[in-house]
Amino acid sequence: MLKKKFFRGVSVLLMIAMLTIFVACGQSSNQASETSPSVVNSTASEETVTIEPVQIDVLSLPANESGVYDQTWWGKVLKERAGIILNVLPTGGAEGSQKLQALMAGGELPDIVVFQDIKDIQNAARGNMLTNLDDHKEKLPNVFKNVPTALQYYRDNVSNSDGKLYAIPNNVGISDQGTDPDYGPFLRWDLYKQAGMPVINTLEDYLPALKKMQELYPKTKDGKKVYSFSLFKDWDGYGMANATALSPLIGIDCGDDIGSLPFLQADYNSFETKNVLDPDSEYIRALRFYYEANQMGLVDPDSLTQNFDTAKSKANEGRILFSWWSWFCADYNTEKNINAETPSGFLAVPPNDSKAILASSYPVGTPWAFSISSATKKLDACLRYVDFMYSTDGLQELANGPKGVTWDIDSNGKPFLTEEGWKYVKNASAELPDGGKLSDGTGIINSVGLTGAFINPVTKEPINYNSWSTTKEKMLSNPSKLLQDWQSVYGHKTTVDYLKANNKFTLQPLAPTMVPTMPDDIDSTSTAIGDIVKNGSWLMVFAKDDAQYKKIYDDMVKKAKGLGIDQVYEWSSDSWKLAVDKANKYK
Amino acid sequence: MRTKKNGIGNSIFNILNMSAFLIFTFSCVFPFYYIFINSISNNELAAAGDILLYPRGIHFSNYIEVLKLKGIGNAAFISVARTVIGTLLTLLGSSFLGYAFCKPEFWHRKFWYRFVVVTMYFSAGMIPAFVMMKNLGLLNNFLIYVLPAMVVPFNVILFKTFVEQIPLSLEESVQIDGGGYAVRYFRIILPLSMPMLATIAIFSSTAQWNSFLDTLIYMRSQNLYTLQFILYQYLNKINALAALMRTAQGRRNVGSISNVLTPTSIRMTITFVVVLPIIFVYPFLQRYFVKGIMIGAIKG
Amino acid sequence: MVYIKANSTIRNATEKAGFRLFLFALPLLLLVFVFAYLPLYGWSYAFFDYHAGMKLKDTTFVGLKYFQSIIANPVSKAEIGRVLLNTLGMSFIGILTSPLPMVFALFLMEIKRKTVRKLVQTLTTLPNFISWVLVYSIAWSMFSVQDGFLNRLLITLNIIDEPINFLANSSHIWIQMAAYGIWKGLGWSAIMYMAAIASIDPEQYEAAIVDGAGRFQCMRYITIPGMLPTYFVLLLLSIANFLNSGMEQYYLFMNPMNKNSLEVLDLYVYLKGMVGQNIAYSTAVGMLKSIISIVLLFSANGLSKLIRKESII
Repeated sequence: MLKKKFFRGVSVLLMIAMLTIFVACGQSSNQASETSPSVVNSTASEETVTIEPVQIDVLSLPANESGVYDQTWWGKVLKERAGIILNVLPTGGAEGSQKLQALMAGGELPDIVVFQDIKDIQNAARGNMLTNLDDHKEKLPNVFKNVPTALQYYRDNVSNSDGKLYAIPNNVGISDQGTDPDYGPFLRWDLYKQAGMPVINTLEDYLPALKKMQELYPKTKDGKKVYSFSLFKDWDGYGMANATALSPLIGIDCGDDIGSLPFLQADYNSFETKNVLDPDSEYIRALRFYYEANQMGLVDPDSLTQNFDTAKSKANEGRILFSWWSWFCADYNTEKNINAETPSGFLAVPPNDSKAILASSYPVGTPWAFSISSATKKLDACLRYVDFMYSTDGLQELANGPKGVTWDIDSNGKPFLTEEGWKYVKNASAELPDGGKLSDGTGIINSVGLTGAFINPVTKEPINYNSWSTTKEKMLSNPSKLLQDWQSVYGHKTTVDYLKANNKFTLQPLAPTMVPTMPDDIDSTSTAIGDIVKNGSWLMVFAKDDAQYKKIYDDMVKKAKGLGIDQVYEWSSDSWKLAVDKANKYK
Repeated sequence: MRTKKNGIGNSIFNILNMSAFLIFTFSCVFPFYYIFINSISNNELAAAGDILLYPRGIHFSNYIEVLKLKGIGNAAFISVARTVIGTLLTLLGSSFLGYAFCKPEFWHRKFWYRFVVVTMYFSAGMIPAFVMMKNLGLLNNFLIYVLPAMVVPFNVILFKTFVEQIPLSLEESVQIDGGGYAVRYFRIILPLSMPMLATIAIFSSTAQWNSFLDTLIYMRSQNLYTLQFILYQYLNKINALAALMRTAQGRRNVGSISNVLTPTSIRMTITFVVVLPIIFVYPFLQRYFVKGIMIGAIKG
Repeated sequence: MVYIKANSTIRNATEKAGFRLFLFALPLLLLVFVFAYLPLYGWSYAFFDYHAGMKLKDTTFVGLKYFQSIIANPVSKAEIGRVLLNTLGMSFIGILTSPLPMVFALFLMEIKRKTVRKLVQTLTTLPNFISWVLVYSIAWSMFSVQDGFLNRLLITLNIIDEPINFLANSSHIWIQMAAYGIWKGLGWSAIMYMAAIASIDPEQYEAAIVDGAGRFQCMRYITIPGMLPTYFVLLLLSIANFLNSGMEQYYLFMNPMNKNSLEVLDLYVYLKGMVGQNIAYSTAVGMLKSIISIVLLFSANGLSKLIRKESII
């Protein structure tokens, strides 16, 4: 009885198994025949409309989604305008970069790769896995027209000194400064006013001000305790991320932006450097700042054990008073809060010694970069795609949606968002008629050739709707009650206007994007030291008293020196000098 | 039935035993319940840790978002296929090897057994494995899901240990005309080993169902994506949005984020979606975990 | 003479049969060879200055450089000592608590109500499916200072005035971690023992009862011995895993207050950047760990041969 049943079961299951294998194999072979290259002719972009679209494989390390995207509005744009269909390969997170390593070890790369790390480009070039794009100049007219400096920089610095062009960087062009700097800081404006707007000359002056604010507002309406600072540790790099987030206020970076130069503090105005563990460094000043805040009862006791998500949700609920970045507290500034009877919300309160870093221009882009595999059998299609990603016309459609639907050109020849367009901007998860969200156009592969503020020579306006003059006018035309209050105090429309008028800003220098790649031994030593520094920093912030604070600091420095921080620092400061020199060269 | 010796002792034991198990079971179920109520509560409240005993602001948008993911239907099919086929192959491969290693006459048994066992303790890393698969022409092929899992050393060891406990006489006493190894394996050993086969099936199907890294590394076409991979990628995307803000460069590339979906609520939803099918399958395998039932049935 | 001849024929026949069995198993052994042994050529990366994309012949041979750099200087030597102590401590607790799943299965089988037993059996496997990330987020919602359920409860009941920071508390951290681990894995690991119990011949119980054995005697003299072979095999396997204590759990529960006593080898290797991007370095670390595991495996097996007169593998 039992045996018979068992056998019947097994044989049925095996049959299913075989069938599924056949089906699955069949599917994959279908796939292959679909993607076989078709004969194409690709001279001018006008003619590409008639081209039979070719499917190309793209491994984009910054991407977070994968699959074939022909059934979306932007898939349609790519099909019609560039004659290609994207098959975005599986990637994501730390495993994504492992996949790249594996592919490189296997000796060939997919048709197009978007790299995230210069070192990988150099390794791939060394293994002859990338196409020299200089050989195809005539098929990349937009690339060569729009980003010449970037190309030269990559020939000189990312080619293992053979002078060939293996990759084209992302986000080339000028950058939009927006209305707020990256680092404000942002305080609860309503409470700051209630506390009598104490004068903030420099960083340390925030503490007494926050203390007063916290006394005025010890608990939220639903009885939850409010703290000035809610820190989190899951963003830590070579140091405590919350500590490196303070010095940008005065135009000094100690690891937030130039994390690739470990333990280096660089002044973006004077270009002077310092070891972050020096007793008078900005990093140690920040630790002291949080330590004193904790002594005053201003630091959330959960800071030691919580992660970013939790801290962010506390910010959303209004359980913090100090935010480093505008987006961190943006979800508290709801329409309801900022336009209430007594409006409440976060706004920038820069210190008087502010040298806030404002975005400038990126002639050599950012270190993410497009490359074409030397193993590709669809070279023409790849070239068409890459060139499309550097054409102002092409990007204008990918970034803003289909023309005539989400945006259009007004009587003055300026682009503007239509009513329909505003709908998709406000509801970011809404799907467009042809499928896909508005942000998917550049968001899926998460990589784009030119910055959004890059000027389109036809419209004389930036590419991206965020930066259009029409959009900006509309956004600033109706300030909230809260902002009106701020404007009356500061006498300017936006924080950026205020900083510029009072010369309290620093322009983002080029040098941080031009630092050389880290040799392996420096890399592993830095990680090992970083582990010591991070832990020590947190213990210093939460030290019981000055004596303990001092002891932890001494111990941390001793261990860091033992592991070789001095050699790492030497490499970092030399690299910084090199980068500063390069920056002058490629301006 | 057993005689009622120390009846009182027995009942006290029963009560204590039962209560201990119920308390422990509660401690296992509550977190799961917690995950569920958080996945259907208002995401803001859930992220703030305000949902503890009952759901608030009930909505199912997390589940809807997950079910709307591109290609999830085909992916579910592939996941079921790899789970069923992979499990069957493991059952066959690992149990036969386990059985063979029980036989003292197996040619150089000790060597080959150790040859299999030690592989539990080393792995060469992903890169050589990838190059290997590439050279075998297995990239972007369904077989990669099921073939490497056919011999799982741990299962081989479990099965061997189990078969060794079956009285040898049983295998020999049942007369089978001209029964070779294959016949004895299929007719006697396998039916006798149902509890262990059920165990291996549980372990292996769970592993197959939960695996996503092989899709990420080896697959190219979206027809071969698995459910877990699609969910993994989705979670990754939600996390990455927040992570992008970590670097000044990332902040430049992304305009703003609005935290409609928080990583935690998505992770909870996914946990629930993924575990439910397993929980439904498990009870069907449980009937093989009854004391003495198999041997009794064969002998009878 | 005749006797010997007959004997050798039998031996010959058995040998032949044994070889036939080997041939049956050969395809499976080949799979093991292909998927587990062939990729081991990748261990050679550990001795070269290798980067993905290069051919091995184009790279420089560096000998034992990467192995040596694991304990390159006095600071890391001291660190490794501390980390090894943590690893051994936690593995030791793991081995002390290893009989628990067996005990669990033993007592679970004593629940006579079939439905209750099945329910308990199913539901106690649930924690196995909850990732450590979520375990931490649940622990967070129970134990955090501001919002934790426990702190709120204790304050409402006036048992404490000031909330306690349970998660940043480093006392008994090894036992705390073991408790989370046991909670997560107990029901799941018990499955193997349930299978072992199911295979025990019911005649044994019947015979014992006829001989006047009570319930506890049956448990002690029949059920437990029935599970022991499985237990010893699993014990052996876990001894070989002494150094591989995993890291996800510790990584998530780690904070600056408890890091000193929580950092195990796997976590240390991860935090010090020894795994990941640098292929040669991570290969060296992995290779070293594999070798230690296998040495431990055979030593433990030898010990078992010495003490229990039985070789397990």
